Amino acid sequence: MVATAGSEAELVRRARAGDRGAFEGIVRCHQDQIYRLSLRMLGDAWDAEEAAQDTFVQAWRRLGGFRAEASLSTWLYRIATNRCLNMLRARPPVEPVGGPEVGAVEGPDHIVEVRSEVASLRVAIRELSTDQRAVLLLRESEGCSYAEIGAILGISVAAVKSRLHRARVCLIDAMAAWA
Amino acid sequence: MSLDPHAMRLECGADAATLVQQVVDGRVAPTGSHQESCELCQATLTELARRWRVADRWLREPVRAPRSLVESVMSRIGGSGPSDRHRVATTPRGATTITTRALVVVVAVAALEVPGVRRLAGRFPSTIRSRDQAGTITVALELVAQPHADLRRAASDVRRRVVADCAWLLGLELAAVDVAFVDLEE
Repeated sequence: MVATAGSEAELVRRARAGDRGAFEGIVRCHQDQIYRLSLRMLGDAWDAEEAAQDTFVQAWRRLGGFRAEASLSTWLYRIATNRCLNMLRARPPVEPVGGPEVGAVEGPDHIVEVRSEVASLRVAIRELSTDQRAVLLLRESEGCSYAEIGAILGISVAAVKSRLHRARVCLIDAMAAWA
Repeated sequence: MSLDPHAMRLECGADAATLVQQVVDGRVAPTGSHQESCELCQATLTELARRWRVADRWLREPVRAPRSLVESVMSRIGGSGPSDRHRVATTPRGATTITTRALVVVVAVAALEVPGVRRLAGRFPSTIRSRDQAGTITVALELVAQPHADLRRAASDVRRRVVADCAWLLGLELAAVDVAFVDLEE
């Protein structure tokens, strides 16, 4: 679902005035992109849904502070990225119960998964530093500009480019066996 | 071919970041006089493109948010939130409510006591979902079964046990219990 800039501005204006229906429209417009970013950042559907929920709840509470000079997308990405980074930092060093990751369990499923290129890619993405992962996903998956990524993460465009290059090279290295 | 993230240039002097950017932008054909005459640059571009294709396909794959997301968000900003309360009894002397947290604990304990159930799939409590629509409460849970378990029977037993425990311990009548076995494990 895509809102035009005009209709989105109107939704924001009404939501800021406390109109929950207007805010629901905003959530419907942006839910896929926020969930997608969360899912790829966290690698877990349950956590991703929690992060996406938290993002919108926080957006509702902070809507009064939203400045129109940044796009709503960029603002929501910033909230979502921070939420995901916090969740990743809070994760225990052990694998989550019920969510065995590739390499954690021996068995037929494990072997099949390890042999798939997408599994290798997921491992490679998980092994990126969280900052590199955020830059990579915001650029390659979400299509944000360097300036937008810089604004979302609070870093310079030069730092965005540097982290992005390193992340891309790590993925390219990881894909050597599958090319 | 191995690319060192710290290596800034190829042996021919070409800028590695430029070649990577070129491939990511989908411009695989050599551009400029150096690339057109440099076999190393051409081989590197071809190899980079082959490797990047897998990542690019996955990164651009569409992902849809779960259907429950909007409803959950609206529920939370409406003040009821994930720790919303279910009304189980109302008398002239007051109402009795229980939280979703209490509900999912009872559901989890009941499900785990059923033979054939190995464990909850995913993290507790988010692996158990409850929905209260105008007092009609439904529960959905994902489980890991033991190998060789009769899954249809186990699901039926989970459903029966969860309904019974919620009624007995909480005084809560469930309209439906959706059970999904998502994996098997010793």
